[in-house]
Amino acid sequence: MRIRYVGHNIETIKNTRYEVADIPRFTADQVKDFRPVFRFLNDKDRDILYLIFVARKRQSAVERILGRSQPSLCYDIKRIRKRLQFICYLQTVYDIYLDFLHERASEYTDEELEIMTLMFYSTSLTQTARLMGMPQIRVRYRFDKILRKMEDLGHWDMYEIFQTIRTNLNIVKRIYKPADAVPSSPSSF
Amino acid sequence: MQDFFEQFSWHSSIGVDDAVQGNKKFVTRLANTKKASQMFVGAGGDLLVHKATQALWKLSDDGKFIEPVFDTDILTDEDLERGS
Repeated sequence: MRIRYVGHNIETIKNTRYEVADIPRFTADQVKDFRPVFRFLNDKDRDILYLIFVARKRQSAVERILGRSQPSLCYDIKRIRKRLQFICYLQTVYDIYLDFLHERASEYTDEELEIMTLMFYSTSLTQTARLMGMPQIRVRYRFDKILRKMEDLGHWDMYEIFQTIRTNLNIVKRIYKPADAVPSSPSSF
Repeated sequence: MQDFFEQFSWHSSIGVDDAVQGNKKFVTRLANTKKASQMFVGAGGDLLVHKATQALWKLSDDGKFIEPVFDTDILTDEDLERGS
């Protein structure tokens, strides 16, 4: 079977160069429509997004307002872009996860469901461990065990979602650790 | 001198205008009543997902309240109306 590309002319896409004027601008009302997506961002990321895409501040102004250096702000903007792409993926599978909670949750223990939900919302083993009051190494072990259980039960839709999360750990960084925070024990790593 | 920001709450997801006008009320805790719990679906342990907004909340340790897991998962009074 021959697969044909039926979308835009690929050469046109290759030659497209995005200028500063192409940066999307949103009104506050449009931002509200994106609330489910923006909800996954932490305060720091949302402030940057709001200042650039809604308040239409120049990057130099955002640097001044937030007291950030140009390289670190640039780094954050790139990270936010990747993070948003992943959050959009999570949004597309959100209903599948809710259906799973309704229909197949009884096949998993309460602890397994808790790990799955916290991993879905944070993509972080560390945050999941902290919220559950468990050592991270145990959460990692249980999470891998859940993936094997999904395979055994043939829950391929869930397996795909959580395997994607497994390979993109920490991409949704909901909470930033304060700069002066010192880990209290080796298990916090 | 009165602190202008004392009663000021802002959440960038709703924009500055609404916050300055003060026409949004943020909900950061709910009493664990039957009406409140109907707005959520159980998601393992004490975790609850708000059906209308997908916000992740949980039962408090004493079981008397429902509160957000993450600070960014606050709800507004409008969200509660939509969810009820």
